[in-house]
Amino acid sequence: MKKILISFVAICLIIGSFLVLSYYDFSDKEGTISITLKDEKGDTISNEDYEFTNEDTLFSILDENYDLGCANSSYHVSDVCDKGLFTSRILLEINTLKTDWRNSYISIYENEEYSTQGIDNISINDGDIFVFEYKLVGGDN
Amino acid sequence: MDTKKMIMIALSVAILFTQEQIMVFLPNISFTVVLIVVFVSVYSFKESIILITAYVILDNIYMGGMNPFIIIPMLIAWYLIPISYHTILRRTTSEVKLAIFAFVFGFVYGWVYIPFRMIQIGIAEFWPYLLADILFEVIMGSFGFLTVLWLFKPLYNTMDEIIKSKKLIASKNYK
Repeated sequence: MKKILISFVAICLIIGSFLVLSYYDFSDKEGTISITLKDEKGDTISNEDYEFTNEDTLFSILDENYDLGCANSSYHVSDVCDKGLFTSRILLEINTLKTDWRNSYISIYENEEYSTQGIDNISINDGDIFVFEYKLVGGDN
Repeated sequence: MDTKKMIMIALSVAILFTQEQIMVFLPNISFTVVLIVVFVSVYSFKESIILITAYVILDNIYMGGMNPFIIIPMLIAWYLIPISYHTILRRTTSEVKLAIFAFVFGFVYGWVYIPFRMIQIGIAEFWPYLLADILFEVIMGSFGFLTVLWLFKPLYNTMDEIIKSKKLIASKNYK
């Protein structure tokens, strides 16, 4: 009986964690965000403002306005950017900003703060400034 | 090492790798923890280290480029299972003790990566990594706990029976 009870608690913890990962979103209902792309030299290659509604996410705004390449399950670049079950997509390419995950990656800064969240877990709020910057693995930041 | 034992270890690596690839669509949900705990409990320490090394190298070759920031913490983390099994766990076959260990291991596995991620990304603060990973650690710990609690005994008995029937008992007479 104890074994079943403890197992039930463990299952609740797993389901609860998945639900939080899937539905964690404190985005504003509408507003404007700024998206900047920076290349390997740190030069700005694009800087645009986008309006959003409650149906938009950071990924959907990028997807509508840029050519994206995402990591597949083997972390290779793929044109298919479908969201995995409970996981966040990994962006490897945005227009001419191209990375390969092994030697380079795209870092995301939200209002000048390095984001530790994946692209699908970042909330968007009115006035937010997002910078997508090319980074070398192990390089200076 | 006995040829039969080498084949057993190779098949164990194949099982580990295949189940992980099948479960790759669910983050931190796989039978890797329970399988490694079972393998570690039937193989000797040396054989377990060989098995884990082969598995980690294979996994990294397939998943992407032998990145040292991933392969080193991965090796360290998985080595903790045979090290703990042969020291603090005292070669126990109690599924409850091993399940508790599997739960804690889910968190330790995530923590081992943190210093390497800090070097790789270059952010010197510890807390953002810990917070960003905590739910994934809960998932890994809870699933490891569940699988060890329910699957360890039947898998251990099956493996033990195979090893005894094939006369593959760890006799330490490496050839």
